[in-house]
Amino acid sequence: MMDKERRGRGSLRLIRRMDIPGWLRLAVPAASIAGGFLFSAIFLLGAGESPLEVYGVMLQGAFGSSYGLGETVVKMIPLMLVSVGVSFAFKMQIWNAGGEGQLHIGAAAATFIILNLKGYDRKTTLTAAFLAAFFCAGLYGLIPAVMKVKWNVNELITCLMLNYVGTLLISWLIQGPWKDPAGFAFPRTAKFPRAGEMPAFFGTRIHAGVVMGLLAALLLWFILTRTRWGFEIQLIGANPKVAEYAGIPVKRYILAVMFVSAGIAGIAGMSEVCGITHRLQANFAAQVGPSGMTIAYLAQCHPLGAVLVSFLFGALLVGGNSIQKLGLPVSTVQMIQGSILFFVAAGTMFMNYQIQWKGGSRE
Amino acid sequence: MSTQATVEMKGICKEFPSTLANDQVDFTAYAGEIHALLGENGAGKSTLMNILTGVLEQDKGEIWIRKKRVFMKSPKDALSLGIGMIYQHFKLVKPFTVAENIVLGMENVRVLNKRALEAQVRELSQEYKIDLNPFSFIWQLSIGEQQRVEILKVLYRRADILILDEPTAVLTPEEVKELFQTLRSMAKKGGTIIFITHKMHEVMEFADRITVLRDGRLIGTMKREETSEQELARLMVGREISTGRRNRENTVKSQEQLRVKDLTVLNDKRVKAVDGLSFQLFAGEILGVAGVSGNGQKELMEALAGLRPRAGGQIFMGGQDISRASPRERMDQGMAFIPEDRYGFALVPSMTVMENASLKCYRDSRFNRGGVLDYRGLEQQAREFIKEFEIKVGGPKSLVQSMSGGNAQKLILARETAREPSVILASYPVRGLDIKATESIHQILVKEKARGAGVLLISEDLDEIFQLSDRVAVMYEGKLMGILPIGQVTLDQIGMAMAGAARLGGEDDG
Ligand SMILES: Nc1ncnc2c1ncn2[C@@H]1O[C@H](COP(=O)(O)OP(=O)(O)O)[C@@H](O)[C@H]1O
Ligand SMILES: [Mg+2]
Repeated sequence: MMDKERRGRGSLRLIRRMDIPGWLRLAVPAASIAGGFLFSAIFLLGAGESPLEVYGVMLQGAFGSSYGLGETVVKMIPLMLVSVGVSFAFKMQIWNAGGEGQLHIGAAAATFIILNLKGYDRKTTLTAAFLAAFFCAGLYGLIPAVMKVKWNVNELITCLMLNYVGTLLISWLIQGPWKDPAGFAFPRTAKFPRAGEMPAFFGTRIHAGVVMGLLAALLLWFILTRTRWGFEIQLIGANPKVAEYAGIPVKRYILAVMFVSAGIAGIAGMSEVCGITHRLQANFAAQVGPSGMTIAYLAQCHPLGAVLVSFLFGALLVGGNSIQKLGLPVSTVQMIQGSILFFVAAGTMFMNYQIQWKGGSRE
Repeated sequence: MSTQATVEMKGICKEFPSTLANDQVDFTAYAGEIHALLGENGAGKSTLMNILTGVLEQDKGEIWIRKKRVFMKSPKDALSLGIGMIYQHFKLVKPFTVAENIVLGMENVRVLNKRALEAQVRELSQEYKIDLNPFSFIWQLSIGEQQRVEILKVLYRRADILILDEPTAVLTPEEVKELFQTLRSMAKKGGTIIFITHKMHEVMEFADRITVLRDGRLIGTMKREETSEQELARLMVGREISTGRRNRENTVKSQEQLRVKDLTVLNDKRVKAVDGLSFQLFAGEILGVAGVSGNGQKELMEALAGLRPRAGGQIFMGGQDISRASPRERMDQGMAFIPEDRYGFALVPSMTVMENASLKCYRDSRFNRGGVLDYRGLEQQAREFIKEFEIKVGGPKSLVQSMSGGNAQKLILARETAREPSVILASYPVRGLDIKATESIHQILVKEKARGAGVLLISEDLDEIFQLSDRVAVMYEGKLMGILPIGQVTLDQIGMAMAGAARLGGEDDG
């Protein structure tokens, strides 16, 4: 280790940080978001818009009213659940790219319970829907896990393919067997009975899904950082060979972690149909799966980080909608959203690496 | 040997932010000699040679090449003076051929005349007895062959001062012999060969003169005939070091700790690597298994630890059949494993000392309340390891990647012996370590056997085998060539058995 050759003078070098100071974990994302706004400002000026006005409207839209803030949280909920779920698997270097499919399976399972379990009170109905969503999505997530463990099939590929299976299955259900007979041509199920609806809080559309997401994040964070199972998961993520050497049954862990990871993504589906749409319908969670993965990546698979980044995503979505009302083209809105995300992603590099002129120290 | 000094370094000083790597070092090498630069890890050997090849610039001091004062700014300058360096880590382009790699980066080569190039490379390899096909791809070559390409590369550029940084670290004993044959023929033609090492027996076997560095300072330069291993060890370390037997007490008991019966194991290519092997390991003994690595040692140890499936046979620990037990069950029964691959198997370099120290005990009830880990306790334990085993590292929260090889190995031993194992599987425990670290690791193993553990020691270093073993076995092509008590076996016998030419005799073992 001592003898890495040192050649090429006067060059910029990226050096991996040994440990990341706490303040940096907050300062870097904050600076990145500011950077994204500054960068977009150049283009807004070029397009003859006042950046201050646009950003003002954006902030106002996302945070300025209880309605706006409520919508930001509403958008955040499914993103938070999916990203927290998949980041749990990512932590172990298991690439659960199947959040989208698992979310749809969870939604379908919850819908099935609610439409068929008649005459129970809300608590029973929702608990049953919750458990059904968790277990069915978890089992769905086990398919790629089993294939990986048994035949060493790359889980990334199987997960992506199962996303199509999951979403198409729902399309078929809502156009076929589960279609609301009184719903004219709309591809959707009948409306849920009241016992299947999650109540909204504070006069907004915020529903109990926010509690589920936060609890899931806290629970996973606790498991990862405080318990022996978390230690084992981190070890597997760092090097599965060392984990086996330490006596950890790695294959069993892959199965268990994929089950939980997919189960939580399934809850995202349940909370959307029970909290927002109150029925299963087409496009009830558009883009949640892919965004959830992006969020998990940006949060570096940290469950609490995923909550914060989901909130940012929610705000960008809601704020973006409100500037559209200014008459800005959609592409401009997407440009602002995109550049902020780009800067946040670039920022993670500054967090993990130190930039140095090639000089004395090697570490 | 001529007496023309080709390299003269005078009063070289080089300071790094935290260390004085070279402190007033004088160094002279002559045409026609093989000169060993000897010293413990961190003594400043690589730094001195990096200065000589223009990779680093000295803070103070002069360099004279063939009686002319020179100022080098880069390895290119050095090469134009005829100085070439073979680094520890090769710099070859894998998808290219040998010939292509040899001309790569030469400025005056614009068009590749393959024929002429092939002829030149062949001529060079014949001249120096380097066996290489110019049109092989680098990725097809063994490590030893890749090193030969590096040497040809330097020869092709007409360098006659050749510096090799720990060239033998990655070679098999056979390859080492061939390397030094090549180097000798270069020296005979008037070249100056400087090689860095910390292995004394290499120095005694192959060097004409030896310069010893310690803590950045020059300790002395001497002729090989005028020194001994004993003296060199003392000069390197700065105190008396025993190169004799380190396992002096006979503590062997009749109690059997491990028994292996007709064990057969396949390697990654699904070929038999361990072939119907049987032996017993007793409490209080070190059973040294000599042999050229690659004869099934790795597969044997992994199968014993439960990390590789058995193709046949049985394993008993303390009389109990553990053939089907999981790695965890074997651990809990008292098996410890020091694998040959320190950083890819036994440690996670990107994690902390504390986390790595906890790898085997985090499930113990004393560190664990209903699954919640007692990180304070684990940190305390890591601190105790650091203290008891004199591990040099910032603290429990430092990352393992910041540790030297010797200290990393001490951490592994601290962890593996903490649970008082009854069986210790140790694969090449001192590979790549310097004398001081080797001595500490050996002391730990001897202490463990005195406590009553059975130690199975795999090594290709015969010095180590003779220093430590109570009984000796030789492994060849997946089989044991016999087992004998240390007093009844000679070096020659072991050498013959390692080459597969004759059995050791002694206990019979399938
Ligand atoms: N680029 C560097 N920056 C800081 N310290 C260094 C650097 N290179 C070497 N050192 C330090 O200088 C000392 C000598 O190192 P080195 O010449 O590599 O020793 P050797 O090759 O004898 O093992 C060591 O303490 C090492 O940590
Ligand atoms: Mg060195």
